[in-house]
Amino acid sequence: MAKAAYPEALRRVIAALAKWPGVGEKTAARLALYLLRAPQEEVRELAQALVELKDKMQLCRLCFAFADQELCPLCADPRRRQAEQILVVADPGDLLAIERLGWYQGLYHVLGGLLSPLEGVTPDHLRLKELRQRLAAGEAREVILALNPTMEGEATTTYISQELKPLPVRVSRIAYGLPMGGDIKYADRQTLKEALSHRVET
Amino acid sequence: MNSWRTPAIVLKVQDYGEADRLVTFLTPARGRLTGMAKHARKSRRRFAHCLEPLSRVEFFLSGRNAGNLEFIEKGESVEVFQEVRRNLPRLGAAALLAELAGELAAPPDATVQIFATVELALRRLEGGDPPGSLLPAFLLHLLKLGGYGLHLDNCLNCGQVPTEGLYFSVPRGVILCAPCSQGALGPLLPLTLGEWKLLQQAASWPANKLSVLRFPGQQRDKSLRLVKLFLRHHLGHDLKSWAFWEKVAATRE
Repeated sequence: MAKAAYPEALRRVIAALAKWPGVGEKTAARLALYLLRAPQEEVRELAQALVELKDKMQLCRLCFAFADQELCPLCADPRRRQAEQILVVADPGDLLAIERLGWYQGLYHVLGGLLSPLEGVTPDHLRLKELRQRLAAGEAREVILALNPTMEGEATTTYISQELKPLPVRVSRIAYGLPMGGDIKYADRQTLKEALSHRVET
Repeated sequence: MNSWRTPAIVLKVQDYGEADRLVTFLTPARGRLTGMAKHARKSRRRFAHCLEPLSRVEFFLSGRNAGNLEFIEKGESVEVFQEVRRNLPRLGAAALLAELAGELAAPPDATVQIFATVELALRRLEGGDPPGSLLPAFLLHLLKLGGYGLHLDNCLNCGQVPTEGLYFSVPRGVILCAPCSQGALGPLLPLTLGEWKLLQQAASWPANKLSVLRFPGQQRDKSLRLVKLFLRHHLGHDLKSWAFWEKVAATRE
């Protein structure tokens, strides 16, 4: 293989990039060669951004989303507090997906995982105590549970709903059912059943 | 290459790489297997709703395999046990039974019965059987099928039927009367006559009759403690699902 022909510096970059998810050795070599040909400033900017990513990134003190200060931009925004809603997600990736919609205007809470009986993940492993503290502080009057419709997601939804029942907050969860643009003929049995049992009045 | 179809109960699903999933599942013919579901995170058609832990599915496995790893070509959902998923005590019981079955599924002559027992337990839980009674009974039944049957008939040392003060020997999995328990290898768990009788029934009855048994709260806790200690001694570790049962499920029973 031509790898031996690569100088040490190039080999190091290829080896580092090949560790990234979805990047094989060929793609890593292509990216490394691109960086080699790219303008000096562009490469410096990337290197600097990567260093700062590790140095500055932390978790928001309130919602546990990614932040580069004590509070993430969403928690620091006073307009977000006016909605008095907290949307609960399993991880920051889910938060970003919902935030991309630009529709939801409330606050978030990142649990950091989901209950998983078979993996021994219990409520102690999730940021539930912190959620209760936020609700006790009067941050929200509604909690929206936006967790995946998987066994783990449903168990977590059930658990949180039951735990929050005594509190003076409205608890709802996102709807389950057919995707937009989907076709009833090709939907699986369970999805159809869920769509029917959670039908809404029009 | 020919593929073969097998009923399965999914035990564990892990993401692998960008789009694949690694699935551990229980089968009647070959016990616990691990398989790779290629592109499962992208293909809704080939794996629609069938890579969910504690689901009863049909898997189509490729004739080729890589060592102990199977290749799952596609799957079909048979039953997702929706009521079990949304009820924490039922879910806790189902998880413990499935995990134990996965640990025990090695004896080739027992795999069919172990699979049938877990499937039956899931159906009973879905149908509303109380998890606190079903769990100890089915755990004891699975232990028997897996070759770890407890000797609960009478004192193993003297052969006498204990009349009072009896003990369960955790390392030996047997009942000892009070005199024979003196100096016996521990840990020893004291049992009342009522607890003993109930355990005896649970360990000896066929699976389809077990749902008749009712374990009142204290007897349930004692029986589960006995099984937990026995398993810890013989497996060398606790089942992961105990944590969920104890912290979430049992408190809501």
